[in-house]
Amino acid sequence: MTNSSNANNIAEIDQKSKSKEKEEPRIGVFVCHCGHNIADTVDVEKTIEEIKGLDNVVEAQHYMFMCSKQGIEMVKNSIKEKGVNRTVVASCSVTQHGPTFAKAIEEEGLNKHLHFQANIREGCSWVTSKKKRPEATKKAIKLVSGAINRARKLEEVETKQIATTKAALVIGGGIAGLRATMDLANLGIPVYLVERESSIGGHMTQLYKTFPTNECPQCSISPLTNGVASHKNVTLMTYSTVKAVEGSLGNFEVKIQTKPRYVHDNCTSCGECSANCPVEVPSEWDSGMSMRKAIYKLYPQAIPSTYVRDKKVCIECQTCVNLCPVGAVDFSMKKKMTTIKVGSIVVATGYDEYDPSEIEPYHYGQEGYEDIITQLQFERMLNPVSLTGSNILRPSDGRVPKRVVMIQCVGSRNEQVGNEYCTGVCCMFGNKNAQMIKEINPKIDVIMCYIDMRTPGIYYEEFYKKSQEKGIKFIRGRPSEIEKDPITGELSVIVEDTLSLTPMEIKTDMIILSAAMVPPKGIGPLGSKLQILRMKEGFFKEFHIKMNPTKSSKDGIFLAGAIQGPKDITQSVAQAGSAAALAAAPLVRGYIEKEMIIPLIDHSNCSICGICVTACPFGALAINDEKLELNEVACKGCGLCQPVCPTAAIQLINTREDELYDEIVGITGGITNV
Amino acid sequence: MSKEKGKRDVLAFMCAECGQGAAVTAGVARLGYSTSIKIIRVKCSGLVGPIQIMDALKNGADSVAVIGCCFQACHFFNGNFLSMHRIKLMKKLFKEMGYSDQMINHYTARAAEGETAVGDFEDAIERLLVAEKEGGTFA
Ligand SMILES: Cc1cc2nc3c(=O)[nH]c(=O)nc-3n(C[C@H](O)[C@H](O)[C@H](O)COP(=O)(O)OP(=O)(O)OC[C@H]3O[C@@H](n4cnc5c(N)ncnc54)[C@H](O)[C@@H]3O)c2cc1C
Ligand code: SF4
Repeated sequence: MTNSSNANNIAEIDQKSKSKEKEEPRIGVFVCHCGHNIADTVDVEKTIEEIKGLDNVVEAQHYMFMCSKQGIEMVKNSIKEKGVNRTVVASCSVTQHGPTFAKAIEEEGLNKHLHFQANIREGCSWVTSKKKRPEATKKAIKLVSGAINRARKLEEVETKQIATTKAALVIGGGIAGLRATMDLANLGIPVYLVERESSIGGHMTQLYKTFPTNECPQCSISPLTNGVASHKNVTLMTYSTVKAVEGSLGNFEVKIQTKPRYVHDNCTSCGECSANCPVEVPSEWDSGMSMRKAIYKLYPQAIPSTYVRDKKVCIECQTCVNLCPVGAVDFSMKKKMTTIKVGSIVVATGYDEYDPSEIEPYHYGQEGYEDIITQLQFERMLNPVSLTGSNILRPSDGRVPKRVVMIQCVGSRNEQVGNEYCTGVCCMFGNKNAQMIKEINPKIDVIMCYIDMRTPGIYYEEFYKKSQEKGIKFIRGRPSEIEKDPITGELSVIVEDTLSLTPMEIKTDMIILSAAMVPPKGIGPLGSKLQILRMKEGFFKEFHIKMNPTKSSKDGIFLAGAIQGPKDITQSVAQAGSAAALAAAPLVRGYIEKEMIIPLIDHSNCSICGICVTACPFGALAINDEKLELNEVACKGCGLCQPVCPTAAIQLINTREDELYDEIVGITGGITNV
Repeated sequence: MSKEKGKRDVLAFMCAECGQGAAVTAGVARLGYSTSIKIIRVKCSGLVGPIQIMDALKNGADSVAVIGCCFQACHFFNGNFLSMHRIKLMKKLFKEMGYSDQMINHYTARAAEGETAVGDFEDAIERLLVAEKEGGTFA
């Protein structure tokens, strides 16, 4: 939906509301006894007596149970017989029976937004002692008066159907993104999968085994990577990033930039080019645990299997160009921009491993401390093509370590580095890798230094027990420092065992840091392009931490996997399914329905100061051509724009400032004849 | 110039999400509170501006409480935060003008816990009594 058509819609609504204002309000008021619930504390008859003379009140009745068939008939009859066009029911909370009465008046041809609910049960009779009947009655009268005042100016709100584009975008091709893509594609929705790297798969393909079953991750993920790549509904866009996003739920327009691979799709993945390329550099994918050529694949099973040339390190000797049997290598390829239209977006850009070099006492990454590595590096050390040939060897001298110490909570639960949260996964992968060491070489002594062992969930605590059975030693305490003997070069971990209160110095050959999971790089610019909020930890913020964990702050954009906070694979997959289902719903139905509870703009009073634009949490307001425009699809009707406007030019329908004023006066002034 | 006990009006603007949720939970649990408390339902606490607060005080309310969701749980992201800052600012202004800053307060509530709403109400009344003692009210 373009902004100019929105402007027309607003003009339409403006017109409509003006014509409605002219209609004389005829208010019907109904006070419920709710059996004894209200009537025992509030004098219902007296309440009716007091309010029936108020302006525009043409009907005032009380009844034992307003929500009963008879009660509802009373409301309906007042519309038929007395021409009531606004209804006030004073009974329970709006969540309980508000919809009941709204539906009733709708059946009589009134707009359901012309009903107003006064809560005199949860808000009055139930919270006041029966002994205070006079006070409770007075309070109820005030509340009902306020409601009548508020009902007087209620306007019709229309419900609009907005057509959606039947296509989805998934950003990030890790396990979460792949699962979401597959689920969406299987529903018959065309999906664009955008992955920054040259291959899909994400972190899961970097792992050696996966807890709690110690399965081979390639075996579990390859049906998905292959399935997605060959699915007729999926357009795979690797080596690509999102450059711009416009629009809102149902209709987004996204610009995607694809970097040149310098190898065309007709590549048969024979590997001739790579085998003969003279340039060799450490592989980023393997965290430096193996070497790769200038023309390479991320890993043997990479999908797509097309090779990619790293222009930065290539010496342009043209060996690959000349050797390629199908002529796929082409140095003249250029980056490409594609514009796509989608109805929903799933963000699954995962996480990065925390870089522990910032923790000075651990000396990670410093010269002479090569034998301190991270868990992800360790996973890559075990991969079949690693420099160590998947043996556990010290990076510094290639010796088999006699002892390995693991340090948990590196960069997690650490306010000094700004990460208060527990990553929640590292206790498990720490245990997993400790078990791997014992399985590969039982002679290696393994010690884990932990603060708390956090292994909740089915098979997880059992997994920890298994480590204990395998003879892995556990020391409860966070090491304060890693020291290196200047003469022997031996490493030692300084830690206090907090269970026995003994300070310890553990001599060791190799140290593995269980680094935290942190937001991936580039999340900031991506967040601002998508206009979705981040939490203070940097991950994308869910709509509601309990009720809506897979929805982002913006309608139509959903979150899957570790981008919404650290998660293991099980949780990532579960979340991806949920995100896919939510993303699919409006696309499968073909339209979204939206009640137009939106602010109305009085352009003659608007000074285009733009303060409401900054107040709107949903980016629904914009100034175009010196005119304030509302994207009514993006607007959620929260009304945050209303109080910030210096000229009262933007007013939320049915909650306008004059309407709030009326209600306030109704309550504070008791009985008010306006 | 304090009013008779129980005759005060404390207008509580409560958001339709956690605010109302907590008030309803309090009702369902039959937690009692003063009849001085009168609730106005708004979509988000951030929608309540200085004008509504002044309107209320000018028209006879003795105190105003604006109650939203807990921080981090606002259904519109930062409405509650905006509201808290707005009221902080208004409190400053009130003080500078010689009024008590105890008549206007911002609170949060948890939908699942009625006690949170009742606690907010009780605090608002307590603060109103302080304001009356200090003699800085509008009445
Ligand atoms: C050392 C270690 C061991 C682990 N072991 C296990 C285990 O045994 N069992 C288990 O259940 N879990 C384990 N985990 C956790 C597991 O890695 C995660 O749960 C899982 O990978 C999360 O999947 P994801 O798809 O959310 O993220 P990722 O796997 O990180 O995938 C995200 C994808 O998005 C891409 N991307 C990032 N930014 C962008 C962008 N701007 N545009 C486009 N694409 C982008 C990335 O390139 C990547 O392909 C381990 C984690 C670590 C660190
Ligand atoms: S999961 Fe374990 S190691 Fe990771 S931060 Fe939490 S307690 Fe520390």
